[in-house]
Amino acid sequence: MKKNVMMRLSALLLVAVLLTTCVISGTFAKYVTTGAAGDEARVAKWGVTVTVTGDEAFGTKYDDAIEAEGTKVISANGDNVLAPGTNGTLGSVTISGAPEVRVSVAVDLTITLTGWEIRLNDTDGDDDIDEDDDAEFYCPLVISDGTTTLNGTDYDSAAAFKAAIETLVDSAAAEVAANISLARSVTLTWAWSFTGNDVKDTALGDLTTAPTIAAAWTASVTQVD
Amino acid sequence: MNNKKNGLSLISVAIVALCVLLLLSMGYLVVRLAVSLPHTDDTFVIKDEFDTVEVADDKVIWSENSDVTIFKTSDVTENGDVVVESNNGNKIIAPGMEGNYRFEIKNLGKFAVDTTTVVSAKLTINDEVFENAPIEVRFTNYKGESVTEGGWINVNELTEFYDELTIAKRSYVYFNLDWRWVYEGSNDELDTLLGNLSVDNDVKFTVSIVAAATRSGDKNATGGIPIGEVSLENGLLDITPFIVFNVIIVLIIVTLSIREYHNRKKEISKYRIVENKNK
Repeated sequence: MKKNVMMRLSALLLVAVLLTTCVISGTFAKYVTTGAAGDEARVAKWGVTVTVTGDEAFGTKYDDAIEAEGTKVISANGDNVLAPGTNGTLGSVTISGAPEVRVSVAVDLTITLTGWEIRLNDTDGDDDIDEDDDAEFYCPLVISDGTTTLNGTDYDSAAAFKAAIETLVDSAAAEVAANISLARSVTLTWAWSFTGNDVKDTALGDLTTAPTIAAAWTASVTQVD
Repeated sequence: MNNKKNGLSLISVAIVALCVLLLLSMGYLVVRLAVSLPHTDDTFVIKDEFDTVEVADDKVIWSENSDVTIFKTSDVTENGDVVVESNNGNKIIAPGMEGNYRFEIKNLGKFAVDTTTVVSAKLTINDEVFENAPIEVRFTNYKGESVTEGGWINVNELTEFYDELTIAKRSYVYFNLDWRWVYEGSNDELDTLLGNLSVDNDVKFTVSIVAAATRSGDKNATGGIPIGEVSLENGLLDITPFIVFNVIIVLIIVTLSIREYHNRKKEISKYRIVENKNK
């Protein structure tokens, strides 16, 4: 019997087809779907530093006063004191950083001037200079931020001198955009000249209640919402 | 008399041709499926008429590990003022920022599917989980149900939460993932600490979502929102015509083969009768 080659070849092809069908069926056999997604964000950088000094604006003693080397000023009771020829740093604020958020920067100085009034003239005509006579504001301190200098003797009231000093530092809360350097610094110095008005300086020193000056510094940097 | 035919019969040729055609058809089908299926060693997406499940947001169809947009590189107020901005293009997060991410699971197939969606969220510092993160999240499904019981929760309370839903055939569900870093009423010292640490350390907030679907035991189970019109996206291959075509080809081949067998048998019988007569 002659071999039927064609029949055998056809049978072989048919088997191959059936096998292929099984393979494809196998790819449809499992039914599972999984999807995964994700995202991440880093925390925005802050890195702002604010440094305020002013605790040592005045002292209980001064070893070498301006314009009079060797002259010593020493407090009798441990209170901080001022005298002609003394000087110091009223305080400073330093800010740095470049945060990735918009911020509001505010620096504030509050000055308190008390008792800077003297009486040198008999304004009431009773041949006596006492508390009944008119007082005049006298503050011989010179305040400076390195650029602007304020002389207390140029002002006729404590309120006016106080406002002028505070204006050197105070800044309305200013907003700064993200990623902008905040670097800024302000320092105030004070000085009482040794060669000023000796009569008025002496009158201050003779007051029953000594005049005082106080400085309070605040600085803040706050993220804007 | 020898009436044996030499060469190929017409039917034999037809059988061979049909077998070749069938093989080519099957081969084409296998190649097209291999190209159209995004899959990895352990998962793959169903893309046939029986089961087609797709997870996507409004921009990206998820695959094995998709990068999606949950965070951004800056934040602006309603007036358009930029209040937060990355200095290097990285996505960032800061107090006062919030966001929402919506994604859908679509069942385009003819059988209901059971789904499990797992969300994990964590704040890390140099890849170590920070246990006091000031960030809150909320995860709600299409029914408005808050998977995070009570709505907003701090990520420290639950770093991983999940929801299980059944989606009927030709239906879909969606989820909303909300996150926020409260500006007012939060711990300013902690917020500032994290911002300062971020200057020299890798401090990041990471969200991961995994959605899995398996064929439901009840193919007619209900759940989800019906899809108005079924469409197979991404040029998916509808294999029904191919299957019908191949079955027809197989039947024709079998029929012709049987007929050819009988024809050959008759020839052989004739040959033997002729031989016997000649003898």
